[in-house]
Amino acid sequence: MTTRVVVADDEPMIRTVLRKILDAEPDICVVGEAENGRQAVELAGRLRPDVLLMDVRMPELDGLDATELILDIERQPPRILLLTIFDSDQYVYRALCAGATGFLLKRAEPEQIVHAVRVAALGDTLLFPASIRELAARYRPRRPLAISRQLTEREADVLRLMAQGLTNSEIAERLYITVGTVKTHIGNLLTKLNARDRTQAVIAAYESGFITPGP
Amino acid sequence: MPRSPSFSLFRLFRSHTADRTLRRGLLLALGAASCGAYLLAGAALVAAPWRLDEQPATAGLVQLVLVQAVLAAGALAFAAGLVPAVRRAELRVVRVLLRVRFEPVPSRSVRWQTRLRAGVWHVLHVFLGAAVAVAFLVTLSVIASVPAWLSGPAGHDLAPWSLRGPLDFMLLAGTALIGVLALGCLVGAAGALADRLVRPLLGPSSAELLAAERLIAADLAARSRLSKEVHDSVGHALTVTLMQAGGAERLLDTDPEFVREMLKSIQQTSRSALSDLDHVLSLLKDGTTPAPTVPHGALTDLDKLIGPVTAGGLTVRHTVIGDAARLPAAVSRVGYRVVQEALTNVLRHGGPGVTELRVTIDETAITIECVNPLSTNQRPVPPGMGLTSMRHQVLALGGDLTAGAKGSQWLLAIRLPLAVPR
Repeated sequence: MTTRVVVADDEPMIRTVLRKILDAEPDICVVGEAENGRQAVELAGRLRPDVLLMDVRMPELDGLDATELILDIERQPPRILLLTIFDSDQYVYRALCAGATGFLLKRAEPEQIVHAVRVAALGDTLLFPASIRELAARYRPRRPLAISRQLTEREADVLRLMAQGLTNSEIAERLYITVGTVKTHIGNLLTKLNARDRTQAVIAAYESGFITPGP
Repeated sequence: MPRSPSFSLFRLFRSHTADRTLRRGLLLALGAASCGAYLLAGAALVAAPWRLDEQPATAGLVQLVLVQAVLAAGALAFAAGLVPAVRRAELRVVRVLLRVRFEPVPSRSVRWQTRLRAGVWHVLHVFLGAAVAVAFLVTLSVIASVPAWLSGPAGHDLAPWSLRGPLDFMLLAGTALIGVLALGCLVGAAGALADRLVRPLLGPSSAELLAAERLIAADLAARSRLSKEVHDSVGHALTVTLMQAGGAERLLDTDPEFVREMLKSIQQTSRSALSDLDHVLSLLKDGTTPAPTVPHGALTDLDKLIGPVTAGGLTVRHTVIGDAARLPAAVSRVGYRVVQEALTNVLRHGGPGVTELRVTIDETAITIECVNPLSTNQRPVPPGMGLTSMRHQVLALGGDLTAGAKGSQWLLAIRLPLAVPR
């Protein structure tokens, strides 16, 4: 099965390069290009891609607002990967809180970009667990939630392993349960935490103090 | 190890207090010296009308003249303090001797109120110095009179060798020590007074501080604008070239045509980033700030320039030959500023009629010509700052600029090479 991708960036050269890199992979296909956030929202609805690779800074509608809009409108939204020029951006955290699956530095190597698109499409692991930990440490909790009281012991274990960036099968191995059970636990804990995906769940875990970012 | 008393005395001598007292003493000595000069001048001023050489110099008259001389010296000191140069000198003196440093305030904008305060400070400085100097002389004379006093009413010999025993010598030494200590205390007290009054009297007023703050804020804004410019242009260009290089490497075997295209584009992007860098660095070197009104004007935005001047009543016929989007960013920006300046000048000084604007871009250079009818008002306008700064910018990019009357027309022409000079 090929992963269908839409690329959004206001710089034509960056769109061209991204398209070339991704199209060269047999299992990835770029189905559309957007040059601003508004077009990205429109293409996300019309083309229903698996992954939307989108620049944060764009004219008309920036990547953050576009992310929020797409996740609000679409019933089955694409996984959204945001592109930034500089790391440790507060936008990144806002984007992840809004429900973006992950972010990529434009200076990343092509292999990393391809890998990120594949991982985001599968959605069974957390992208950049270390970055999320750092960001959570920097932008300290604002909404204390009693997560430990809401979750069962097993669900709490799954959440902790998720935050470390483990895939579903790795979690299954660690806890001596089947992948199907892991998926059930994840589904339940996402509902309880009112999270859209793993990223949001892990951020909620950090923000509530359920997991501490550490040094 | 217990410290010996002599050691602590040595420490006291070298201590901060001693150092500060010494500096204050120097400040007062400077004041005293100036006071001497003012007193002489004051005495000369007030003594002349009295014709002292013709009158009998009674004690009353001398006293009167002395009082008047002191008052005149005070007035002179005050008048001198009003002079900005004197205030600047005082500022330098207190910076060194009182270690008081004020925020730098542009000296051109010193107000009258500030000058009056400086006058009061100068009078205070001079007379405090004089008072301490008088105290110093009195102390010296007291110490010197001790041997005379010891040798009894009949003694005329004031020399210390008239001392007859160790007790006398100790008395003399004791008096001297007390005198020196008292002088030190006096210098300390006078210095403390100067310390307290220097800020209100010599410091900048709140209005001047505000003006200085504004300057600093403007400077900061300019810096942040520059850093944003570097960030936007160079950071962006580096990111793009990096992505292009990465993509090219990945597709080296499968898509050589794409790789060729990327390599070409990398050169173009790097070149334009370098010229951007040159531009920003030259701004940093000059210490000038980038024009805040047009941060990113480029020749592709020519319509943005022509629209407003047309609305301002100018008829502009413009032709562009060549692709302005292909220009290196720095060239495009300077070109934009040239057109902007030229049209503004026409609006300001030009005569009625059509203004011709021609932009020609070929493989190696860009030419911009602006021709407009001269004003019927024949008063020659001296070339302003706009033209000078325009010329600098054009020369910096290796181009040339000509401007001048040609018949009944005014012609402004620039030529800029597209390659950035090394």
